[in-house]
Amino acid sequence: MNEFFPPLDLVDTFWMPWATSKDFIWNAQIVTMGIMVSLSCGLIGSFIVARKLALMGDAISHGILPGLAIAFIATQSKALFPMFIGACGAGLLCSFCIEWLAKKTPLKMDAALGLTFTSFFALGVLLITQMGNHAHIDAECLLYGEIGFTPLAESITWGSIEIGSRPLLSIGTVTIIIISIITIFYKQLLVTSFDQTLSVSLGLPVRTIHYGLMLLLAITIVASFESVGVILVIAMLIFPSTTASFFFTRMPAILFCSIPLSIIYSLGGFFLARWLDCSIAASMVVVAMLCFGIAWAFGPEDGVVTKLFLKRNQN
Amino acid sequence: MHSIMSSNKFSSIFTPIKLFLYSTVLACLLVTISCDQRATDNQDSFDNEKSHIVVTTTHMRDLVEKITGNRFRITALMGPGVDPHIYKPTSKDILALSKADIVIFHGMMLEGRLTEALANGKKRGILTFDATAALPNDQIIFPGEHTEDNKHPDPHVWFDPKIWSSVAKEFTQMISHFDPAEKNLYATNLQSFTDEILLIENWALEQMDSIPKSQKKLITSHDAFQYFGRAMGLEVVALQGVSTTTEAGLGDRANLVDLIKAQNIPAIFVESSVNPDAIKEIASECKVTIGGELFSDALGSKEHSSVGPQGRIFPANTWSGMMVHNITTIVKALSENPK
Repeated sequence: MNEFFPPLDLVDTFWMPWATSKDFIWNAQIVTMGIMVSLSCGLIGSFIVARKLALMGDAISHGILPGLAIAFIATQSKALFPMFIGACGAGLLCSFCIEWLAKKTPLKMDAALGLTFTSFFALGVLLITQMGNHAHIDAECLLYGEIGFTPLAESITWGSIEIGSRPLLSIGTVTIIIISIITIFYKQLLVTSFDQTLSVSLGLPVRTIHYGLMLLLAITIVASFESVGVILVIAMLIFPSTTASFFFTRMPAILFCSIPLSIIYSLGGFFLARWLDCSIAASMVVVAMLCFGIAWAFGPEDGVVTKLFLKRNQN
Repeated sequence: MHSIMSSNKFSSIFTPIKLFLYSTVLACLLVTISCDQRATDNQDSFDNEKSHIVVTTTHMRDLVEKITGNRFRITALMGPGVDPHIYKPTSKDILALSKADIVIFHGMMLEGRLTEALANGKKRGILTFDATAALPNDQIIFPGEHTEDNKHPDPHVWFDPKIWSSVAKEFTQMISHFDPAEKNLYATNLQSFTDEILLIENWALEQMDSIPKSQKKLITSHDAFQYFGRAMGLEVVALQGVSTTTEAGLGDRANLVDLIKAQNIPAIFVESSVNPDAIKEIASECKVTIGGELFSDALGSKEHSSVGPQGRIFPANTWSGMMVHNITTIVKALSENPK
């Protein structure tokens, strides 16, 4: 066991990453990246989970593969912009197919979801194999980033002024877009997420809102994938809102809860990875899991231990 | 979200504002603890006299060690047996990168996403060196040469002794420029390294002669041995493509089985850094023996060594040891008469 858990060196784990200004800038970029990804995924995930579509993120993340392949074939390059458009298009098409199958055929939602994204993924694999013997063309290499490489990514300059690293900027933009859209359309999103009948009777454009949300989800997934890889994104869509739901019942509180949670995930994951010397993204998910475990046990809303405690007090 | 509609008296303790307060207090506590630690910490383990070189693959590590001796502190990101195509960095690797004075990487997309990231590192003020960037195009093998798109070179250049010598020369030039004080040391080291490469090459070609001409066929898991085949006069066929991340299609597999059966090939080979199951299956299907394990994308460990030219012993964590091991294994397996 000693080999598995190295002794915890407090100085090395908690202080050394911030000791010099060079270290600070380097590691702060990684942690900020983690916070932004968890935050944007957590915010959008709250609505997705409320709609009982928790695995939609997984579906879209697989469904974008044919879009990537087609964008690559069309442009013969790995340029970011066409890739982004292709991925978003395929993701949207994927969610459209899922919706159509669930509404217009006797299939249930989960079956429709499983059916669609596996077909899309298989189609993508087929296209990629068909492209021939290109070295290193696969989803892994095309799209999945690594959070640790954030400080190495190219920086964007505007004129002669350096603005910042590109993945950080793109995920930052996405976060701002998500926050503003949620603020502007909060009521519509809330009503359509919880009560379809009410929203129809209120005359809300339910379908438009749904696909708007799906597009937003696709954009979030693609932007985060490209910088941090796959595990983190799918986990962060689900963890923050489910964890927060053990503490709060109301949507605004759950949404606000993503902020402290994403900070805990990101810093906690960073330190855990530092201690155990392992992948940062995976450590962040482990920290998220621990937080969820604590919430599940001790959360004031339906926490298991809390309920036992309350029951005993009542008797 | 099962509890959206329920509520109880505990929720008042956890209003958003209070939760925010709690987390702020917790954060302050954490910061205080780490500041305390700082006061007791006065030895900086990373502040070393020597400059720090970070290399990516095991091959590059050997090359850099051979040329620079112990003039620098060298950290290799990938250990023995790690497949660079699917390598994922750990937290310590990222730390090493952030502390590096120079980062030496193989290039040609061998390290996948890491190559891309390091190529960008140059723009961000980190000194990086793409070891294969200066190789002339006519020496490089492009797998899709007959198609229009030949942008993707085969990265396994270390199997060609001549190319590896010129990579060593390029590196020596760069490092002499970086550290002119020890120029002569690097030149001497380069000379003995290239001499050793030449020694191994001549010995290898001699060994290859003992394989019957009709059996000079090397069949492996993934397409890493094209340079090796070109240098040693072997025909190379692989189950997977150049990258281990491309999956073998059923057609590729069937073709390979037909080829093995039709051409009376005595043995096929597995690689140390690739899952051997597919090749083992094919071997039992075609009733050929597994000729042994070859080192392809990663060198071996120090403990393993083989006897090479002039009876010298070469440990498998060096380029020479890798070549000697591969040649001995291949020659032994392929010289046997097919059953």
